[in-house]
Amino acid sequence: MSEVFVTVNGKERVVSFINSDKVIVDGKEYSYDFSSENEFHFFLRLNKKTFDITKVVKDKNKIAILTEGNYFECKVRTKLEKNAETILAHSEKSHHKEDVVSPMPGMVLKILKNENEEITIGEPVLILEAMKMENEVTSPYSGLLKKIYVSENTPVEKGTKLFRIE
Amino acid sequence: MGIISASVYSEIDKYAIHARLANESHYIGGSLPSESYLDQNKIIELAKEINADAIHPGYGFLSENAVFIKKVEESGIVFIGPSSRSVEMMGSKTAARALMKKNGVPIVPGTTEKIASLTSAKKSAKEIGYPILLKASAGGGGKGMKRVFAEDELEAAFSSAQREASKAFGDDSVYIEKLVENPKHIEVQIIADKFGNYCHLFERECSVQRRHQKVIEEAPSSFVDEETRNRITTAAINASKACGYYNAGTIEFLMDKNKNFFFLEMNTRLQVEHPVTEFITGIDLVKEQIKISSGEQLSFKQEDLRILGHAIECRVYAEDPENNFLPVTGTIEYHRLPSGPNIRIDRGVETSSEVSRFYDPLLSKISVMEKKREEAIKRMDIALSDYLIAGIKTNITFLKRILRNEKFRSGEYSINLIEEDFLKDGIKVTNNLNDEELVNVAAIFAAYLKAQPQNHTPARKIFDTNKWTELQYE
Repeated sequence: MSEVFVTVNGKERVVSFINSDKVIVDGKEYSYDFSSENEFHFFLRLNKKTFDITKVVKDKNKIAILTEGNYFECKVRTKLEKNAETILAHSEKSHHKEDVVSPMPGMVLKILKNENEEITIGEPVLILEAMKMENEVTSPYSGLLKKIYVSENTPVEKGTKLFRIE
Repeated sequence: MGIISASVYSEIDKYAIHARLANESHYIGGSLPSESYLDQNKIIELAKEINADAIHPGYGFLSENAVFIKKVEESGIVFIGPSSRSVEMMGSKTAARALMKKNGVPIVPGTTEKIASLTSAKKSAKEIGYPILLKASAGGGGKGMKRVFAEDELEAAFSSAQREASKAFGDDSVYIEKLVENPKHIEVQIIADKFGNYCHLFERECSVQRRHQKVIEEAPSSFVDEETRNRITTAAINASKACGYYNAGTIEFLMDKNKNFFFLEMNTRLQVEHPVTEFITGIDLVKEQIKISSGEQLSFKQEDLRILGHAIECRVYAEDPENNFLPVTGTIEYHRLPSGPNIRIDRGVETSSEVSRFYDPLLSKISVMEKKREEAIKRMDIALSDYLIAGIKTNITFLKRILRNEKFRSGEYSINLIEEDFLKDGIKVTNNLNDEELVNVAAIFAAYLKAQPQNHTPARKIFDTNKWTELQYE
């Protein structure tokens, strides 16, 4: 079986399943076995130790799990996918554009910046009220605040576009 | 106790645990709190209709609302808690401060009246000296509270504090306190009957907070020595006597590094963190509350009480630490609780529970007790490791990180612990407890899952059939 590349909380691991009970991770060999109670609770046996694992969330690219009180975000790519991504990342680097979306349903209380203002990473752009608390939404990038999609005192859903940094 | 219990539920809570545990449960309205759990008249009307003897308000919603308590008193139903008069006296932060000052309970320097305008805010702040704290008179839970380090920050903080206060409490009164730097949050549990018997149940330390919301609580505080304990518990009893208090209540203090303490506020209700006190005293506080309300005397005396061990509580929230701790909503797809000796769970969720945006994101509370603090920390670490929740993100890993923090372990931490040691660099998954072995486990698991065809059924399902039944026929 061929290699897959797994990023676990930012750390890269190369995993290859040799056969139905041998797996190699970064050169370290384990015997393994899988079972599950249901589609959210799994048992992974590595050598002599069994780990209880729950699936916190899973989408197309990412799987988040909880095991022994540790939360892990994992991204799995085949060699092909990894290569494609590297090429894509290079072509995109020159112009970083991104819409920032609302992380949860709430109400836009106050907009702190104006369009076409220079923003540095981590700077608060607007205040979102959710669960009766005021939360600052900060910019994940440095750049130009190209567009503000929302106005004050309007409710937003999770995923609503808030502003665009270029 | 042999009492028939009835609970109320909103639309979304029809099958919630509190609705199912009660002997009877009653629908009182829509999922919005204002349509159900905050609708005072509906609740009282229902109580009359079903001939309820008493109402226990829990520790959220209307539990500290003097108007509601007064209405209950007037309806002839017993309120399990203090009198509306005591709650009113302690409800306004400014009035409470004045009352404490009069009764010799130390308070944080600051104004004892609400601030009328920005100009007077500037003037008072200057007199008291920066850094200062803006606080909502009607406040609690950190809502309407802002720290101000210099005058140029005051205007924005003042209007934000007023806005939050007005929305959370329907009252935009704000006052100013001197910011006590790097204090500990120490509070004293008291309980009193209607015959004037007052007892304290020692202190709790709740310094692990984020934006004034408690995250980890413990009892007793490892910072408080016997002499300080005597002083602070005496102050707490004086505070409760000053407002003619009966039933369970908590007096919150800030304590500086020299063990000076200042009255912060009184919580005129049962508190979220009461399990740690129940653990170290062996007293069932809710049971005691009910007995007091039905006119009984306290079932114990002060000299009967001693500290039996060290207890810790962790609050498990549906929130995303890596995303500014924003609350998370969704369905709990799988829920396995920790178990074992000296572990207690108070919870509102289980598998298939819906975590909605209507209510607080607190899912459950894990409490543990051991003889020594280090052992309690170890026990909590094990309990958190055993806890499995699928479907929504929680703060479990963040809680584990706090337990492993050096300052926390030494006991030398203040209410700024989270801000100083965790928020400064931002919370990132890369800072998680990335044990190399577990990273490999995660990598293998993720790779295996990805290799499976979509919507796969697991390779081998255990517990499929009951072999014992087959044996019977052999």
